[in-house]
Amino acid sequence: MKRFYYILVTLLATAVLSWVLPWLLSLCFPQNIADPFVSWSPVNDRFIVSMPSENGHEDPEIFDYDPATATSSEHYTRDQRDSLLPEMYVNQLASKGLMPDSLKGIEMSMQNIRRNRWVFASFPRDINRSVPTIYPLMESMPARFELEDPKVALTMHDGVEIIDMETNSTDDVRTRRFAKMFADKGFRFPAKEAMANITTRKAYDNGYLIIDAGNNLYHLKMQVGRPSMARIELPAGAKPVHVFVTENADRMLYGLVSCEDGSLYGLERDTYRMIKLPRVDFDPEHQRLTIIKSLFSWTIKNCGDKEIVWTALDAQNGNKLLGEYRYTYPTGARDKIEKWIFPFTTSFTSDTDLYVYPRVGNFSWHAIFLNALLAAIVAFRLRKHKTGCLVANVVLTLLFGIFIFVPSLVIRHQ
Amino acid sequence: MYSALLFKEWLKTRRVFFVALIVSLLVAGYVILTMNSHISANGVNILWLGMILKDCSFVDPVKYLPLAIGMALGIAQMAPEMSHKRLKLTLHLPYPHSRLVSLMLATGTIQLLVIFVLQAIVIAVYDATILPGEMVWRVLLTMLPWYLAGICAYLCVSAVCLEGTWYTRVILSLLGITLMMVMFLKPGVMAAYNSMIIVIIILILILAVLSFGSIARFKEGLQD
Repeated sequence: MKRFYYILVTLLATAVLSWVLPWLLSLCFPQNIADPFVSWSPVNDRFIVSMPSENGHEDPEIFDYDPATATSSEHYTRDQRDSLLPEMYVNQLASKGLMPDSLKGIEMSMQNIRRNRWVFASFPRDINRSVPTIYPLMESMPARFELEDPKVALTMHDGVEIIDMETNSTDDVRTRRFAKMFADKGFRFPAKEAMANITTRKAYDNGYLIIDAGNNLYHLKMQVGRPSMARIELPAGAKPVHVFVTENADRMLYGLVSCEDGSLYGLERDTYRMIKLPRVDFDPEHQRLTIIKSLFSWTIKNCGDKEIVWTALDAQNGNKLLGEYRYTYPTGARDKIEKWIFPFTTSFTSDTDLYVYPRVGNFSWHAIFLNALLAAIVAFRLRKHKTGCLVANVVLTLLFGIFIFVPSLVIRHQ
Repeated sequence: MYSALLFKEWLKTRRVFFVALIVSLLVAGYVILTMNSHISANGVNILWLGMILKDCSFVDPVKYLPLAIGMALGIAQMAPEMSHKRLKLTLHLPYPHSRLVSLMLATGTIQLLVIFVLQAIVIAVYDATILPGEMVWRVLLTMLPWYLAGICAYLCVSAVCLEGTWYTRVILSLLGITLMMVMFLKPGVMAAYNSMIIVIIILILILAVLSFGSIARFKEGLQD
């Protein structure tokens, strides 16, 4: 029992240390994770890059990048950058009287800029999380114009059900109406994903985008208590995986649809046409995506594990590709040290999801040198023990390194 | 002998058990009153939206209570055994040692389960009147890791108390504290620990073994 107890405590301590030691190292070496700010300039038709300083306290380094020649220019001052990005720094320029009246023949009024500008952001944490399959349903055509908080919720398991929140019971009349509409449109239960922006802090309501069990895409709204539903024609080969509803001032899109092959489509509001955004390879479960849409361009920022890709599309010319800018994340001091010390690391949380469970990763062969040194120390310490015990300890130290070396030193086997 | 031993464990833990039961039911009542006042102020649909869209489970006051109860019960049950080395007397009883330790741990664990289950039932019954079944399950799944953390805390405290040497007690305490930290990494997110439940149950079994090890070491004279 004593031997078993010793082994159990040592292994438990090893598992705990494989989580605690990397965490302590990350506390000792915090990494500056500020991304550069990149936007497409309609003035000189280049990317304008604001690279944050290493410590994040000094002025950013600002330069432009021409994707056609893959060259960068000399550095700009902040004032010069403001003039190159008039839609982005409209308030700054207007306060100094430097705002142009028009650009490329398009009126640059405050109203026109605001109506045509919106920002969309998607984070893996918003997708990789436990979410209920009960969907609050907003009234898209409220009697008093202003949007109101939902009073009913929708479920789409074996069939459709409308639940009255006040009484926590099924609203039979509405359920029948919705069930008929779902059946008429050929909806296959259960729904794989449904997304809406449930808030009254928006100008209008676009309802839900829903993917059914057959990977068909639907648009659903509740108007005057009745369902309004459309089945959306998908482009050939497109298999929708995630949907995002947008309610922007330009009222151009119902939302965005990401597909299994990484393609991203905008769902046009007037025609229900799916417009592919060229050169975008987006995996919403692992990548952060930000879209800044302006009068002249779409700047799409796609953050992967190792690099960020900015893609600029021409908003005035059918989303034609304007260019790409890539930025590779620098390797921080922590990463450099970590790979030499730890043969692997354990974590329970991740930046890309909101689940807690043990994840073993970051395997590094560089740590074998330290492991070998520690194994030699273990061999010297246990030189008078039985051969079996010595070999087992040396092998375990070679495999688990510092994580088992510390407990084997500290925990006494009496 | 069996019933006499059970009575001995009950005598040690009954005060803590009843205080913990009352406190946990009061906290359950507080959770219900909080939800009720939220409904009175904003309407039940706003409560639904808060739970569905913002992960408001309304059971946050429960979070650290099972941990505290588990530790209190562990100390109440095991500390008397170690004062004046009474454990020696217990181990001299004509009863197999492994069964003795199992009985001690089972008594404490069952008491904890009674407290936790009653509290969960009170909250679930109220929730079921205003929320659909799926939301009630999500609330229960949110609380489940906290309750399991309470059982882990009880087993850790038991192993520490039954350990005879201060050096190993410190090691076991550090180990226990770190393991408890894992149980509260993202307590604000509903049902975040769903994939971790089975790991915690395995951990509970491992921690139960530690008490047997502590007794084995004690029997061999490893004590300060």
